[in-house]
Amino acid sequence: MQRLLYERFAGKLFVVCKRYVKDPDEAEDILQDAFVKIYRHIDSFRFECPLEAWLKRVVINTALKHIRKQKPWEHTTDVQELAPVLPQADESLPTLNYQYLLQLIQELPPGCRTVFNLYAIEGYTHPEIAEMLDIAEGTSKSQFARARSLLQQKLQSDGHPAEGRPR
Amino acid sequence: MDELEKNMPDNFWRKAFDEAAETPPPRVWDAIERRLDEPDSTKILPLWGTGLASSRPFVWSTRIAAAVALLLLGWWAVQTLPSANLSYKRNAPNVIAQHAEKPANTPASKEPTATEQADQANSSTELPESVASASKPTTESGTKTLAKSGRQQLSPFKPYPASALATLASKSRVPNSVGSELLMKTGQLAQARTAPRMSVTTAAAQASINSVVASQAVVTQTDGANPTVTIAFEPLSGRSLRLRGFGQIHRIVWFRPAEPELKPEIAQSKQRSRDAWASASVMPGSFNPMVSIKSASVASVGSASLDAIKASTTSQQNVSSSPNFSVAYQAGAGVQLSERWSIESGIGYLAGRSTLETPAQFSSASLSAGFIQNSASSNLYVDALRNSIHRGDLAYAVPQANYANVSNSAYQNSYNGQIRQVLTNDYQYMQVPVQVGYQLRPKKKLSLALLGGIITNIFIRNTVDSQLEITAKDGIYRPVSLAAAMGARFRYRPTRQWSASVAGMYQPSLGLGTQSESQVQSKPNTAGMSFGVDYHF
Repeated sequence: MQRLLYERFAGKLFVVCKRYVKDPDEAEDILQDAFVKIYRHIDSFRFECPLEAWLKRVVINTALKHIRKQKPWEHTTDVQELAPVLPQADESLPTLNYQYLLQLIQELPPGCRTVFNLYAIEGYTHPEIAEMLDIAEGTSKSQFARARSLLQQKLQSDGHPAEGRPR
Repeated sequence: MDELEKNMPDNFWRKAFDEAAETPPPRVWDAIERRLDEPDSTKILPLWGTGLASSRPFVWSTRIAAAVALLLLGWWAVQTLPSANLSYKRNAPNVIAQHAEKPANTPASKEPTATEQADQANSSTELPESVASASKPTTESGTKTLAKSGRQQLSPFKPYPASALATLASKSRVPNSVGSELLMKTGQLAQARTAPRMSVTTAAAQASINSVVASQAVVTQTDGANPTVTIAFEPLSGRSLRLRGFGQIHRIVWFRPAEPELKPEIAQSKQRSRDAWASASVMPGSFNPMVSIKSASVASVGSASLDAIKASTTSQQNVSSSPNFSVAYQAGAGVQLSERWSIESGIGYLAGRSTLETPAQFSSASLSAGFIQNSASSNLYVDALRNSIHRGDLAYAVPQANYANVSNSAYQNSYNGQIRQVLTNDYQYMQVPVQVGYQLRPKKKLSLALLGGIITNIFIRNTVDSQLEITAKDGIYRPVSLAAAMGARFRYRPTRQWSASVAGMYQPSLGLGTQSESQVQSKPNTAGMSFGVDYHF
């Protein structure tokens, strides 16, 4: 049973882990810890959400706990110092491979990467992120702005000029 | 404002990673499997499953049924197994072994490195937080398609709620076929995982386990995407059981040391309030006999002349007594009746001194400057005392006094209001007080009580000017008279047993202290400050 559950969801959850940490070994450790928690606490799942969403939350929490020890957002840049531009999401972007995008995210500094994942992909708000990571809300915003800027620069340098247009 | 500022999750990024999946290396599963095999001492997972199986009525009905079954089993055992020593031997030891062929593309399990083991140990202590927070509800609801077929007989001893997992899988977005596979494999994996760890507690349980295990065949499941898994079960080789004899019941005798009997709180407080004490006190103060001379009594003297009668009548108002220093000693005992009320009694001795000024008559030889000394005179007070003695013989009453030379003829002389004689009176009384106290500050280290009661004064003697002594036998003073007692008492109790008290007392007489037929009338009263020491029992 455990094996089936693992085989069913481990692939997606492993990508989630890799979005939060750059080192593949760390991603494996997070996935491993998360699945152990899942199996040992499966009884706490109350059918209040889809199983996949619940599993993803466990993985994200495990990853955040792993990241929190490193305190990657201690030295942050103020929001105003960053360019207010975003990588544009137009029709050309869906053609990009997820592995390429994953690589872009992984190359972000850890603090930026975490906030970007939580905000842009998972859909949390800055106050929620601030509470989850035990940081100031402004720190969350500045980290996200920085991630956004870095991603834009990377996309432009990799030959995706359309993404460089300010929104 | 751009969309990200409003936290509209970027569809591009979400879509890009929505279906993204990457198979983790097999060593991840191996590590998970190893960690799951380790005993988890942090939490005990329920065996009764989730969902409907965990509903309260179901759980309670199961418990009640189990309790009834146990009672019936016990009753049956007692009724049918009368012998004292029973031995039970299992039939043939069964052996169970597990052979699980790994998939062809699955490498041999990796031995955990020291780092991995340390990580496993660390992570095992971090479970509740993330899982608890992960239970946050969302708006999506899963489909509730139940797995329909493929259920295998599940072992009753499973470490994880396999049925729950199957239900979970089916309730998620997993297709029905996957759910069926989950269900089918659940039983196999659960049994395969847990069979070696089974523990047998009763013969019945062992028998049922044997039957379950024996009924297992080699199961082969084929999944389109997964390799073939073959699991073989063999009976467990267990140790033979020894049942305790039903006849020998080993009683556990609980020893309880003797404890002091707990009395009700009301009784305790009552007992606590029944405080008893003995006291010794001294009361310096003033004693005023309030003496007066009855005129009729003087007139009754047969030998008195009319002038003398007149003189005595006019001098009645002139006999005046004033208080002087007195001391009362008292030894007593008291008891606290309630929290506020107490009663006390004792015995005392009162030495009261007073000064009395009386009209005098004297011979011409002794007259000097309009005021006379005691030596050469007679006075109204002494004459009245002498005349009041009821011993039948006046000579007996006044023999030793200096008034012996005072003849009856002298008494006939008129008392001169201008000439006054000062006499001292030393009264002695035995006192028996009975007082009631009301505590205004109960149970305080410094207490205040109001006192009131009756004092029985037993007359002993009155010595007039250290020369004339009147006793109770002379019939002038009442042998027993009553006086009221009232006052207030401060008591300082620094220890449980000892206390010191200061009381202000006033003791007015309730009646005459003299006989009604006596010429001398007295209604004494006493006032003073009492200082005492109390010993509380």
